[in-house]
Formats: sequence, structure tokens, C-alpha cells
Amino acid sequence: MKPAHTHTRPHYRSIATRLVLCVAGALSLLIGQQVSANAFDDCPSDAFLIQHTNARLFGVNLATGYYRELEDDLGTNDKINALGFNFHDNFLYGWGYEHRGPVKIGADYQISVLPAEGLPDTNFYVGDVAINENTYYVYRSGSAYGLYAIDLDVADGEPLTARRIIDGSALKLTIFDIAFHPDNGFAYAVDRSGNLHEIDVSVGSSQRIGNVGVSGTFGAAYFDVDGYLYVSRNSDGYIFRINLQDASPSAQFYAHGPASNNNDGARCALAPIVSDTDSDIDFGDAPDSYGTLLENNGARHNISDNTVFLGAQVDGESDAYVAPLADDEADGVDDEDGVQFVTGFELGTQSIVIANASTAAYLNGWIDWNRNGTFDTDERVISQQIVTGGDNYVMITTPIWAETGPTWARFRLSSTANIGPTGGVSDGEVEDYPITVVANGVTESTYPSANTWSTIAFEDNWPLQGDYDMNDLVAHLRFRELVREEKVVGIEVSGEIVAVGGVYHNGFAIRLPGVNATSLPQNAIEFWIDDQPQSQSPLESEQGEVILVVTNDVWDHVSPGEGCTFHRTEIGCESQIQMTFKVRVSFGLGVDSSVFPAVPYDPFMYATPGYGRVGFDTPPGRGLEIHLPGQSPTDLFDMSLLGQGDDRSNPSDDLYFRTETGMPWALEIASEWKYPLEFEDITDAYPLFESFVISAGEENATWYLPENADLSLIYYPE
Amino acid sequence: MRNFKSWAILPLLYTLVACGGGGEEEAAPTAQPVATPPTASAPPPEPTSTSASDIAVPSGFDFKTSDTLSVMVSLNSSYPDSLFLTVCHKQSSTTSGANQSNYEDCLTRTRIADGQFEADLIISNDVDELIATLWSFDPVQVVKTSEWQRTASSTQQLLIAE
Repeated sequence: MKPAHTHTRPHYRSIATRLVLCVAGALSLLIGQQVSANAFDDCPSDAFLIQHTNARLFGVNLATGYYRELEDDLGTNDKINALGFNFHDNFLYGWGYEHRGPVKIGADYQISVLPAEGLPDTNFYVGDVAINENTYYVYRSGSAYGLYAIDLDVADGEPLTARRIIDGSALKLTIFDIAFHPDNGFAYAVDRSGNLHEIDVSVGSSQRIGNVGVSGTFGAAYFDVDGYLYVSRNSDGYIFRINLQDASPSAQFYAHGPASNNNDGARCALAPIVSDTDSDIDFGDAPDSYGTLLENNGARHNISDNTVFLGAQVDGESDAYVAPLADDEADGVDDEDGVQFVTGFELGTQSIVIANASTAAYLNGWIDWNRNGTFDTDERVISQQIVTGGDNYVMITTPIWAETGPTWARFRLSSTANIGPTGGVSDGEVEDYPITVVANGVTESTYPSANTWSTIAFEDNWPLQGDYDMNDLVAHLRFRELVREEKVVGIEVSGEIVAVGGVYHNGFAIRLPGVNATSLPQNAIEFWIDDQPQSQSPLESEQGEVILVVTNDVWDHVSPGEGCTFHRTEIGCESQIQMTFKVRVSFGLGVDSSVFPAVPYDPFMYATPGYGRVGFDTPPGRGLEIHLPGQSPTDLFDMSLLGQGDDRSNPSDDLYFRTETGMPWALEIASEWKYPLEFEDITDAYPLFESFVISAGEENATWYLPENADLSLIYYPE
Repeated sequence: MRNFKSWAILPLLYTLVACGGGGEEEAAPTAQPVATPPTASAPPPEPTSTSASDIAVPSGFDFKTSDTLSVMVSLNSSYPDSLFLTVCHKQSSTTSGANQSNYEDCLTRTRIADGQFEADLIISNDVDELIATLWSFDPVQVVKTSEWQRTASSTQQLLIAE
């Protein structure tokens, strides 16, 4: 029979409404009749799970399935079922099989038997406590039974009174637990066939919403404060999440939980699934399209046991910090330390990976070969591989159909064997890595190395001599070259603008001397700023050579600190690096290595058009460039500026950007250089610089290291 | 040709903009650096009285702070045909894998055939040691390692030969 009432789909209460409920609950704690000293302290995020024929109580983190036993002796010799958390008094309520009636469980995990009237002489295994009323509901199908409401607002010593809402032949459901929605007053359950039922307990009617796509005995059901329904399957412990806001709600695998043939759960439906203060969960770092954030069922592992992890350490947080803001960068604790890539990933070839495990466990891995932002089923590269404590060599074959370019890899270590790229697990660790897929037969070289920077530092007053603090524009750079059969087939330049110590507006670009721009194939260039792909090509037009413009004005990307004039060159003006970039160029069939420029190629700066400079009646614009000593300017350079001011360039001698004494306006240092503070001459900040120069590099070749600096004169925020 | 102002007024203008450039309408930077307490235990090197502008740079000096390392692999036929070479920094001395390759911080990675390979790498002047590792694929194992340490010689070479 169709229910007489009209169901409305869940709608979500405002935070204010929830606060009212919380206050009401707190007041209930103070004045309610069931209050005792051993109520639970708060509305916990963890769920309660009760199992075994001699009841034992567990605490379960639904996000990971991690559980711990809270009590193995609750003061009964039989099962407890139909468990519900009562938000009104912070007690658990359940059905005690030993006494065939309701019981209450407090923070001491001991039952109190609650005398009750109006209930049939049977046991109930379906039940929960409502949110919007202080009432415990139990249900059993069959005409002799049904749905019962047990009023918990009774005076001390008085028995509870139950009233039957509807008999169990009219409300006929094959369900094993119900859970009350935090807002709409309905209870929900998933039956053995996977049908999702919405139950109006006020009249005892139900409505089948649809099939959620999984079947089995769902012995425990829970809600969180956001209205997600969680059901736990007895046979395998799988926890599924169901979003009731979807038009056709379906069950999404969420976490591996404990399996049991006798299973009932409860939680405070007004608590988030993970507390903001919870730091016992390890998340990945990849962009969220891969399933990283908790909201997106991101890969996550409980680390409470701290025995199964990759590398030397694992750290936890209450939610993921996805790239480029991964917590490894933010908190300085890099726990992505368990996987090393010996080889690159070349199409159609095998690669060697070293996975360092803390102990014997199962390793699973995925690589987004087609670069579509997800880990697809056919992108599982390691499947339930048993690894031992220490280093494990793992072979991965890059499919011939993989897309070349940057992508992401995910590795998960756990004592649970068969896990996917998303979802929760009760132990272990997930580590995400950016990798690059290249064509086969490629030699990969990186300058200075894959994990270090070189530094380019400019004085921007050209053609006037500057003050030699060498910080008007400072960038870190890293160069990666792919060479195949003695041809450079691709390069990647990564960088970050680390300082702007002048108020001039400057562009920054990289020239590939001798490499013809017209030789580039279509779609040869990929460009990212701050890890965001850029639609505008950095390839500068009207140039014969390849000129890659990183930015036309660095001040568009960085800002001085509060009360500061410059970006990261003054004491008290420390700030984070605000601009990173990456440019990848593919050369198709390649450029002969013999004619390809040596690293660092030719990084240069130029005057941003439209901004004035001292000594010029009108803005010099793009025609003013500053290059490393010995590098010639580009086609867009205004050659008439050569020899002006303090510049003593002499193109006939291939001499560019030098003063009378031979000093340049730019330096490239093959290391992560700590540049001088504002106004501090490089020879004061680095006293060994002078002898390095005078000796033509024979002496003090490492003058630029911090140990050779006057630390009071360099920008050294660490 | 740009109309670049005469040098008679430039010293004054330069004083106004101090370090680096000054925008057309920008006020001169007024922030003065405050000395930072030295954090190093050792006293800093003696400051010089010379400004960079006073240094007489030897003709043709390029200011480079890097060097070339020649890498050469020459193995006999007892080695597998297909090998993989990595040249990397070493693991931090504080880790369990000290003196092993840090594969996250390599300078080159390449397959080599028939045991022969040559390449020049650009290395920073402060890099004093590197480690080369040769891997075989079947079975997956390290078949040879070779460490390079900087020498006083003007020619830096990393040779793996047998």
C-alpha cells in the first residue's frame, strides 16, 4: 500500500538550526531525566559498532574503517543490537538480548537495563534514536511486531513506554539497521537487495527511493552531519557512502571496515565524519581529480597504529592538501619519501621503482597514463604486490599508448590487499608523485639536478650601473633535457621568481640561442604558471629564435610584503615565493645536440612596455633587454642602446652587457643562491666574490655558498 | 634610437632610485636594511672595501660557477646488453641509505646498450661527489656503482669501465 503521506526529499537545515539543536541537546543533558555522570562527553565523530554474540563494542572511524575495541564486556552475556546514539543525552541505546528489552550504554561502556512497557516478547535488531525527538525506535517485520516508538523522556525509576506505530506486515522491510537523517526526521535503510528506503517513523510509512547498486546484509547504518548515509556490509566490512542529495543515490565504496556476521552501528549524526582536530589520517597530494580530498572520497589511511608506511615516516591530517599546496610543502614534513624512481617512464619499456616499506604489506599503484586526471581501471600498475620491510624493486611497464608528458602516480601500502585508488583503509600510507612519461630511448639530463635549483640574478638599471645587490630580479631555474639519438627532442624549464628588489616593471624570458622558432611543431609548447596550465603560448612572435616569455611583468605575479617596498629583499619583508612556472617544449624530430645551446640557455629580462625608466624620455619598452655576459640580445632589442650609459658592449667582439671594468648586469649561479639584502653590495655580502672574479674563477670557486657569506647581509629567511 | 638622457643629470637620478629601478612616478625606496644577527657560529669572512663596480674583470671571464663532468661507460661483454645508468647525488648522510643514490636528485638517467655511453654533464662548483649506478632489468638489480669525487684536476671525469 502506498503511504498516505507525501515524502519530501531531504532538505538541509541551516547551521543556525543545527546550533539550536545543539543547544537543545546540551540543555537536555543538564535537565533531562536520563542524565547521569557517565554520558559520553560530546557528539563523537567516530561511529560505534557492536558485534559478537557476547556483545563487544568498537569505535570505528568511518573515513578509514579503522576500528579499536572499546569494551569486550558490557555487562551482558548476550548480543546487543538495534544500536542508536541519542544526541539528546549522549548515551547509546540498544536492544539487549539477555533481558529482551532496551538498554542504555554510557561512557563506562556498561549497560543499564531499561524496564519498558508496551513491547512484544521478542528481540529487535533494527533501531535508532531520532534526532528531532528524544525517542528510540525499534523495528521488526511480521504482523505480531512492527515499528515501535519508545519515549525516552520519563521520570527516573519509571518504566519506558512504547507505542506501536505500525505493524510489521504493513511496514514490511528486509532491513538490518536504520539511521536517522540529521535534518529531515526520516530514517533510512538499505535492504538486502540494495534498495534504499526512506521511512517516516511518525506514521510508519516507507518509500523506496531506488537501488544503490550493491547488495548484502547491511547490518550497520550511520549518518554524518552533511546528510551522507553510510552502510556497512557484514560479509566483507565494506563501508559504502550514499549521497541522498543525488537524483538517483548510489553506493560509493568508501572504506574497508571490520566484517562480522552480527553487526550493528550507531553514531552521532550531527558530527562530521572526520573531526577538524583529527590528525590520524594520511591523505594523498595529487590534484583532487584523482580522488584526494575527503569530500571526494580521497585515498586515505588511518595511521593510529603507525606500523605500516612507506619510507621513513608518515604524517596525518584531517583532510588532504592537494598539489600545489601539498602539506609536504606547507608543513615542511615531506612524508612522500617511500618511492624512488630509478628510471624514467619511457613508452613501451620497463621502469624500475624502489618502494621502501616499513614492514611486510601489500603494495598497490596507479599511473595516469592517458593524462585524463583520473586513475582508470587499466592504469593499475601494481596490484596487491607483497613487499617486505626495506627496499623492494618493482617493475612497471609503460604502455605504448600512454601520453607523453607530466602526469601523476599513486602508491598505497596497507595490510589490506585489494584496495583501489580512492577510499579509506584502516592502516598504511598513500604517496602521490608527479612523474613524466617520455618517448623511448631518451636520455634525460637535468641541470643542476632534479631536486636543486640554479639562480639567475639581475641588476635592472642597465645601461646604468646598478648598486650590485644583484636582487632586482632573482629567479630559480631548473633545466631538463631529453635527448634521443643525439638530438634534443624536448626540454622543460621550471622556475620560481624568488625576489624582486627593484620597482621597475620587468619581463622575464628565456631564449634558446640558435634554435629556430619556425622549426617548432604545432602544439609544441606547454606552459604553467603556479601549476595552472596557461592558454596563451609563451612563444614570443616576431623573433627568429625560440624566445619563451615567462611573464611580461613580474609585478603582475608578486607583491611586496605589508609595509615593504620590494618582494623578498628586505629584512622584515619575508614572504612565500609567489610565482612558479614551467615550460615544456617538444622539438618533434629534434634539434642536433651539437648546435643546441648549453644550459642555462639565455635567461634574460626586459623592460615592460609602457613603464618609464630613469634616463629615458619615453618608456624604452621591449627594446631594453638585460642578458648574461656574453649573450647577445634578441631580434626585438634596440641595438641603439648598446654603449649607452655605463654599458660597454661591443658587438664586433661579441661582447655584450659589460661595464668598463667588465662587470655584468646578470649572474647565473649553479646553485640555490642566497642573494644580498637590499642595497648590499655583492662584494660585502660575499667577500670571496672579488677574488673569484679577479682570478678568473681559479680561486674561491664556491664563493656563493652561505658559509662564505656575511649572513647579516644576505636575504636568508630560514 | 631611444632618447637616452645626457649623463650630466644621471648621477642625481640614480641617487633618487637607489637600488634597482624606480618607476616613472615611483618614490625612491626609503626602507633601509636592518642588520640581521648573524646565525652562523663562525665569524663571517672579512668584508672588503671594494665595490663590485671597482673590480677589474679579466678579459673574457664568464662568471660561471659550474664545471663539466665527462661521464664514460665502457663495459665488456660480460654485462647484460641492456642496462640503465643513473648519475645522482647521494642520499643524505642522515638516512638509512647513506652513500646510495638519491634517485629523486639525479643529473642524468639513460638506457645504455652494449655497455657503451658518453656524455658531458654540467655540475655546480659546490658539487663534490656523485654516484653512478648501473642497473640490469632481468633480474632487477644493481650491477655496478661508481663514485666520483672532485679532484684538483681541471678535467673532471666519471669513468665506469671493465
